[in-house]
Parts: sequence; structure tokens; C-alpha cells
Amino acid sequence: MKCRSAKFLSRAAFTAILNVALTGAAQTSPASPPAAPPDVNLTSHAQSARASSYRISGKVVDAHSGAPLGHASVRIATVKDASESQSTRTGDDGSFHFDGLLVGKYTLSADRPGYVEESYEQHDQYSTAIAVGPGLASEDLIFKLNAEGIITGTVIDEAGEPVRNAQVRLFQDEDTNGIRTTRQRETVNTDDRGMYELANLRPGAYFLVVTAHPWYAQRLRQMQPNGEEQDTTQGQPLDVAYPVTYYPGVTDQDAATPIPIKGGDRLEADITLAAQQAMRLQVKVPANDDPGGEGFTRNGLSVVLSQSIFGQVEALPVQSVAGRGTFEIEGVLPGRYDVTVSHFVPGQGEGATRHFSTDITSGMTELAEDTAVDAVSITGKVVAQNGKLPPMSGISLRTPNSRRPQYGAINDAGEFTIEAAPGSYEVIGNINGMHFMSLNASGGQLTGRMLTIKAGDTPKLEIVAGTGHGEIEGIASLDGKAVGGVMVLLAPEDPKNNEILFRRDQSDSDGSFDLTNIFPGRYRLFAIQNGWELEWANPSVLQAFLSKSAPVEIKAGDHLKQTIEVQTK
Amino acid sequence: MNRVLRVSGLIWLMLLAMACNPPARAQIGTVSPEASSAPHTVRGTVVNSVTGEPIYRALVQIGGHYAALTDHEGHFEFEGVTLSGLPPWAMKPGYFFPDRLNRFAVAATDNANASSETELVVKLVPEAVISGTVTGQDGSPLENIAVQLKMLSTQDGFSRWRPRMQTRTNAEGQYRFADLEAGKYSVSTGFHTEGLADSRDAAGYVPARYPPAGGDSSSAAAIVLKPGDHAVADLNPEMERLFPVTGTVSGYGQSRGITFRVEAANGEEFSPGARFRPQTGEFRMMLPVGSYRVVAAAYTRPAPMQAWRDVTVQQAAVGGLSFALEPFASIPVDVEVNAVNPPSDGSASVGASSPVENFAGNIGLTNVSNEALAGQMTAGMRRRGSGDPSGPLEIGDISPGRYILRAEPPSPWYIASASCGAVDLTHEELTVSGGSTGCSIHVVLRNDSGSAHVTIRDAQGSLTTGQRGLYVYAVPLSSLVQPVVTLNQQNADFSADGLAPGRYLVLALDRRVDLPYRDPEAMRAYSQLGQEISVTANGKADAEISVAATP
Repeated sequence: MKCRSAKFLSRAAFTAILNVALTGAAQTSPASPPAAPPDVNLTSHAQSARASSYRISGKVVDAHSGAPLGHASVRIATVKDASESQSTRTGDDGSFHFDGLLVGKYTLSADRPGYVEESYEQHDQYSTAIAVGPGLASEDLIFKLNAEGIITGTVIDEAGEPVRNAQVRLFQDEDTNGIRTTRQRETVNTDDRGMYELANLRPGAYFLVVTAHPWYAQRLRQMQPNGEEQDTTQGQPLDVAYPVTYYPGVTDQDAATPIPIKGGDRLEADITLAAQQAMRLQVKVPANDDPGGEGFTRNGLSVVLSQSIFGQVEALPVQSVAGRGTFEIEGVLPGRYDVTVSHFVPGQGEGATRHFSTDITSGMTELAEDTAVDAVSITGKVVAQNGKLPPMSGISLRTPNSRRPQYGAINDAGEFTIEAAPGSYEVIGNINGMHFMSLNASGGQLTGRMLTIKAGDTPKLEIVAGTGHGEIEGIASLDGKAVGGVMVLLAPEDPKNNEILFRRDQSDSDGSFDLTNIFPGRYRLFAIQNGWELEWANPSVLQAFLSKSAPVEIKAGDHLKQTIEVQTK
Repeated sequence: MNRVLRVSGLIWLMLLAMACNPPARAQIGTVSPEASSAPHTVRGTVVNSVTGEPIYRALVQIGGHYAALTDHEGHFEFEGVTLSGLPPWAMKPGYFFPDRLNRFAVAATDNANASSETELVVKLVPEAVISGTVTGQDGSPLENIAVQLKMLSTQDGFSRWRPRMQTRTNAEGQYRFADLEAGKYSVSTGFHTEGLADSRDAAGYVPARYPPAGGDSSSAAAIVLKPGDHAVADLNPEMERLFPVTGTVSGYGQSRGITFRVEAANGEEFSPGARFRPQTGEFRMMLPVGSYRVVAAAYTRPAPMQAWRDVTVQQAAVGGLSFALEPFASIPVDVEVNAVNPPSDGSASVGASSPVENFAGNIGLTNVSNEALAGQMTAGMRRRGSGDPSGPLEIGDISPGRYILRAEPPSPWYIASASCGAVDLTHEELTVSGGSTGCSIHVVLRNDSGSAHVTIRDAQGSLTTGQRGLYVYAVPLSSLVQPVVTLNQQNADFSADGLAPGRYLVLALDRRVDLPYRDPEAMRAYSQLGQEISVTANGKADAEISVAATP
């Protein structure tokens, strides 16, 4: 089953408990002392049905060593209503049990200091819910909990001295979307000793990326004999910068070494930064807005340099200096950068933003007009097949790696405009409760939902949106026996160009699964044991499992029942 | 020549330093800090001010034009320097440049012949560090616990513990605060809920403080750090059961959020992680056994709203608390100008044009009740009704608390009296609750201030001229409104006018210090160091004192 994060669950739990409490309070007279809000207690429900009550029991063990874990907190909640929950602590032998449970499905989660909080057999946001009832196995569960992994280390500079306030970014290989990508998990800063700690890590492969600015970096104004300042372009020994540095101390992203973390690992990863001669990027300021002319103001001009780190575009810490008629970015190392120049003039509404893709190669590079990447304006119209579009709707374009897609709001006439740089994007509808029944484009190349635009294109999208999502319920079984913990995957017929159409679930302990929110269309249904490590959105990976998959066609509002045979990776 | 704006970096510091300290520049005896001269060599050593050891790889700079890192012996050398008047200064992570804003004065005295080719010594003051481990009652390290660092500092004449930095413990329960200057500190853990806050056996770690707080917090024990010290402070918070505290908030208008603040009986303050449903006004928080003041606030426009309740939790849930939010108070102000002396400059007004207009901006209230907010939470004067320059004056958005009047009219004017109803603001604090206070502030200004003639002599009875670091203060003893007056800092024989009539303690100290002048207890250490004088209207008082070592 699909679960929400533990934090979200507990917030939902509070709301419901509060409701119960307030209902109770309303029945007492205002003068009477306020009663404590009753904690929701599953056993009280069960008392009315004691004759047919059931049990969940098991043992919490260390996933790596198998050793029993005492004093872990274990919690169950009904799948129907996460606020109906109760918790307990394991005994010294790691055992736990919940008695007097009604027939139904329960999510199970556990936590212990030094371990990562997890749901039972958790994979990504999925876990195996425990079904209790006649003939169902819900006892003697083995709940494997992963000890937290920790990466610590020291960042030192070229002289062996600690670097304070260096940003240490943690990236992880993951395949939540079915395509292996390297994504940023968190960022910490080094302390006065140059030390950092990244704790509470799940098992996996991690990359470390360090960015920092040399504390002593200086670009000096040279004095001429007549006492005037002379701006030189020669390299100065203190005009330096640190390159983006990947563990184990390399500046080439492809040479970055992953750090494998198993549960309970505590690894040390020290990184040495080496300062390099810095370059400058000069941006010409429009003649009527000379920042040097109006005193020390930049008059709304901002220049941001970004560089791709594992496909993620990150703004870099640089210094800017405004001169007469120019705007300079200092402390930049050679390389290719995305340069965003925004110009906001007070009182004149929205400012203009332009993008450039520029190579910085020498002491001073001038931002050249021919490196501009002018955005393409994509227009379109959405028609609702029956009735009106819900308010706050929009269309977005996303690249496989982007976390912030380009978005365009849909106006009352169903029209939208999106600005995006040339490239390939998946067209996504942000229309509550509706899906694309049809998607057509002119002025750009459209394959499935993938839209490819070039500079100078004037693409126009025609979208018909419909209601009525489908649902597939069923049982994953192997040789007639239900199997829990299996990855159930619904893949669109053209997986390459329709990433948004994939649906996933994990079978619960009785083999049951439930795929919801399915857009009408043709699909294939897979159940793959140990399938969680697969790049399942990669068509060539799916190919191997195609023969044992089941074809399904979903029409608007369909609710299908389907049993699926489990295959093994 | 380019005009240069450096968004971050050292030049700003230099500009700031020059702007803040013109007298020191004059002391160097040059025409301009960036005067050019014949090329010469500037060389020296950067050392640790505590150990005297040379500092490797310190950055030494002269103006924005010369910079280098020191070698292994802490040595630096600049050849062909054509600037004079700017002594070198140094920086390095882990060190402070002494008295940053007073850089020129210090450097000029240390390096009297900065332009000649002598060996200079630049001292850097090492930072202090506090670190420690937070453990539970069973000795196991507690991860991800908030730890707050507070520093005892003086502002507006009060010594208070003020929040300085915050961090969280790592996987080993350790925390660390670096980059600290010498001073008095305390560390405390935050309120930390363990497990599910809503479960029947909810429990939490209650705040623990090191060193333990006692009675009056400003005199409580402290971690005293000298430059270069590393103090270790381990904390051992206790786990206590938590009980639900529930109720409703009303009067929050369109605000979607209510901020809850809990003040414990020992003065510690924490945020209980309350949950609030704007649809119904219900809230719920979890608190351990104890007595608290719970403050609910909504930062609505145009005026913020607030209400508080005293709550005692005794091994059981507390329900039915209701908070009816009230707008923060506003108090009308009127200023009476009493020109006793004939105007010497042909004007009977305070300031040039309007009598009140130029002075009004200097009237306000300073919160003295809440430790965490003391001195920071102030309310200033405004015109009632926006945009009307002739509208009545008021002090608005005053959160509930105890306040003192803050008013600094330009010389020769002084506050002859100030009151709000029956409260004499020159001697008493003003307690403000929500809504209307029912009184209005009446301030009387007069211009018949007096003066003092101060001579400073050494043990032999001669004037102490040329003393490095001479800080002369007149501490008002008879008015709560009057701030401390900083007198001439250079000469040993001078007169100061514009003193409000009343009693003063005149002090000559060897260090610049923020005096806790509104705290008689804390001022006891100073009372024997100076001379008490009495200034009368249009009168002149004499003080003859010697320089005292700052306690």
C-alpha cells in the first residue's frame, strides 16, 4: 500500500483526535471541569467484537545483523483512518504484539534511537500493510529496521587548515520515478574545525559535493603612481576560488566516487579543497542604467551564475562588483555556466530576465550576446470535455531531472502561456481531478507527452481534459498463493513518452494491491518480486518482464478487479 | 577612477570603520587615511594576543590595495607601499581583530611609527569555544536536541541574558559553539517531545541549563570565557510526562496562524509546538507538570493581537482555556515644551523647525519585562492616523509587558518630567496589558540644563593627558528616563553641558563598557570608582577623578 510520511500521518492523527475530543467536550456542560481528550484506542472498538478479534505480533530486528531490538516503539494505524492508531514498545527480545484487533488492514511502523524510522517492508513511499482476519497470517512478523548510517569528515584547504562554513551537499542515487537519478538529499555546513556530520542515512550509495569560498580570497585595486586606482586583469595570488569538489577530492563529476552505506555504518570522508586562479565575467549594463553613475546602487540588476551538479542546476556563491557601465562577477573558475541576468526597474513593473550559456575561459570574459538562450513562449488552450475546469489549474513542462517545472496558469478562457528554454519536456496537467483525453501540438515536435522545442519555435498546444479516473484492485499471487511485499506496476503502452502515467503499489500481506487515479488508456500490469531496485520506467528494463505482464485497458471511471502473476527479478 | 561597490568583502568594513570613528583618524595625525607617500616597506608579524605565538596564514591588508598571507613565522612584508596613514590590519577564521570599530586608534597606538620601516606587531584575539554532550537520564546521547547559547550583555542599562546562537546535537549528542568573544554565557536545551506527542504516554525532555539558573537570572552563575578558552558544558535534561493543554482562541480575524509562547516559572521560555485549527479556533499543546504563562499572538494587520493565560499543569490534562486576543496597546503622547532660558540661537524650539517634530522620533518605550526580548522589543512614536503630519502623537503596537520611557532630546533640552496617569515615568516602569492602558504619556521638556567640569588626575595629581583608552561616563542616579552620558574621551580637563539637573556618578574607565546603569545592584561595583555630583538647573558641578580599571 502507499503510505504518507510519518510526519504527515501524525498530523492527520492529531486532527482526528481533536475532533473526537471536541465532540466529547461539547456534550459536557461548560461549568464542569474539562475532560481530558480521550486517546483513540483500538481495543475499545474491539470490545464490541471480542469474539472475532485478531492479533498482530512480531519482532523488530536489526536489518543488517538480525539481532533483536528492544525498546523500539512500534505503531499500528488502520489503513482506512490513520488516526485510529496505537503504539507499544518492544521487549528486550524485540517482540511486540497488538491484541484485540478488528478485521481490516493496518500499517505498521517502528522507530528506535540510532535507527531510521520506517514502515514495514518500506520501499520508497510504499510498504506492506498487514491484513488481519480469518485465515490471514498476521503474526510472527519480522520487522527489519535499518540502523542509521553516518558520514562524517573534515574539509581542509590546500594548506591543511580546516575550512569553516563549507557547504557539504549529500546526493543519492535513487529511482523513485523509475529512472535512476542522482538527487540532492541535504546540505550541511562545516563547523569551526572544518567538520561535518550527515546522520540518519538509509542504506544506499551517496555522493558528497563540497562548495566553499576561500576566506582569504581578495581582488585588490592596484594603485598607479599618480595615486589613482588601476584595474588590472592579471592574476593576483589571492584572487582565487574553490572549484565544486566531489568526494574523494576530484573536480570532475564523472570521477566522483559513491560512498556505499549499509545500516549502522559510520564512515569518514575527508575532502581537500584546492584554490585556483579566479576569473571574471563582465556584464554590460544598459546605457541608461549605469550603476556607477547613480552612486553605489545597482538599480535592480542581478546576475546569477549557476552550474549543473549531477544534473541539478545550483546557484554558485560569487561576488559581484559594479563598475561604470559594467557589472562584474568575481571569483569564478573556468567552465560553462548558466548566467541569468535580471533587470528590475522600480515602478516599471516586471523586470526582464534573460538566460545565457557561457564559457568562462580567461581572466575576463565578457558576456556575449550570442550566448543568449532566449526562452520559447508556449501557448495553448485547455477545453474541459464536460463542464468547467476547476479553479487554480495550470499546465507545466518538466524535464526528467528538474524539480521545479515551468508552470503556466490556465485563465478563465482555458488559455495558458509558459516560458521555457529550448529542450525536451513532458507536458503535465495540474488540473484537479482531470486528465488529458487528448494532447496535440503545432509549431513544436510532440511524441506522446514529450514536447521538443527549438529556439524560434512558436508551439501551440491543444488539450482536451476529461474526468473519471480508473482504479485497479487485485491480488498478486505466485502458484495460487498470495504474495505480500511485491512491486505492482502499471506501465503505459508507450512508457518512454508518458512517464506521468505510471502507477505503482506494494502488495499487502494478503497479496492485495490497489492502483488508483489511473488516466484512461492502454497499459500493461506487472507484479515483480524484489522489483524495487529496477529502473522500471526504462523501457529496455521492462522488456524482460513483458511476456508475463497482463494487458489492461482503462476507461473513464472503470474499477477493475485483476489478479496478477508474480514474476521474480 | 572606477567607483567600486563590493557587495561583500573587506572594503565595506574599512569604510564602516572610517565612518564610525573620525576622532581616531585625526589622532593618527595624517591629512587623509589614504594619503599617498613615497614608496616604503611595511613589515611585521601577526601574533595570538593570548599566547604571543605567531599566526600562520593570517590575511594582512592595507586599505583595499595590499593584501598577503603571513608565513609560518606569522611574518608579512609589503614593498613599495605608497599609502600612508592606514596601518595594516589582519584577519583569520578563529580570531578577532581587537575592537573592530576602533581599529585605527588601536593600531595607531601600537604602531606609532606606522609609516617608518619598523617591525610591526599585529595582535589577533583568539575566539572562545563552548562544546558539550547532551545525554538522557540513562547516560545515552540525545540526538537532534536544540541547544541555545545565551550571552549576558548590557543594553539600555540592563544586564540580561540574550539569545546568541542556536544549534542541534549530532548523532553522538554533541553540540559546539565557536566564534565566541570573551564574556559570560549559558547553554540550555530546548523542549523536546519524545515519540508521538498525542499518545497516552507522551513524554518530553524538559529544558536543562548550564550553569543552573538561580533566582535573579542576571546574577546567576555563568560560563565565563576569556579569549582562547574552550569550555565544556554537558547537559542532562530530564524526561517528564506531558499532558494535553487545550482550548480555543478568539478574535484572530483572518489570521491563519497563532504563535504560542510558553514562559516557565524560572523565566525560561520555549515554544511548545502547539497545533491550531483556524477553522474553529481550537488549539492543543503538550506540557509537563508545572506553572506557565502561555501567550497566544496573531501577527495580523494592521495591528498584532495577543492574549495570555497563567496555566498550572498537575498530572492531568488541562482543557477549556480561552484566549480572547486583543490588539496591542497604543498610548497617546503629548509633549510640553518649556523654554525656561531665552533662546541663545534665536529659536525657542527643540530642533530647528517644529518644537516636537524633531524630537518625537526619539521618544519610545523599551520592554524590560521579557528576558528574551529585553531591549529589542521597543515601540516608537508615530502620528495617529497614517499620513497626517499634524495628527496627535501616540506610541503604537505595544505588546503587553513592563516598559521604561526612552527619550533623548537634543542638548540643551532634557526631560523635566514624564508621566502616564499616576505613574511617574522618571522613576517607575509602566505596565502595559492588552488594549487601552487608560493613561496618556505627558512629557515636559526644559532647556535649563546644567554642566559639569571634569578633571582627571593620576596618583601623583597631574593631569592624565595622552592616556590611551579613556572613557568618561556620567551615570544618572535620579532618573530612569535619562540614559548614561558618554563624556569627552580624549582630554583630561573638560566641560560637558546639556546635563539634565540631578545626581550623577562620574566615572573615568580604561575600557569602553556598556554600563548596566539602570540596575543599582550591578552598578554597586562602580560606585566607589568615581565621584557623585549634583547638577542643578543652569548650574555647573565639578568632578575630579582618576582613571579606574574597569571591573
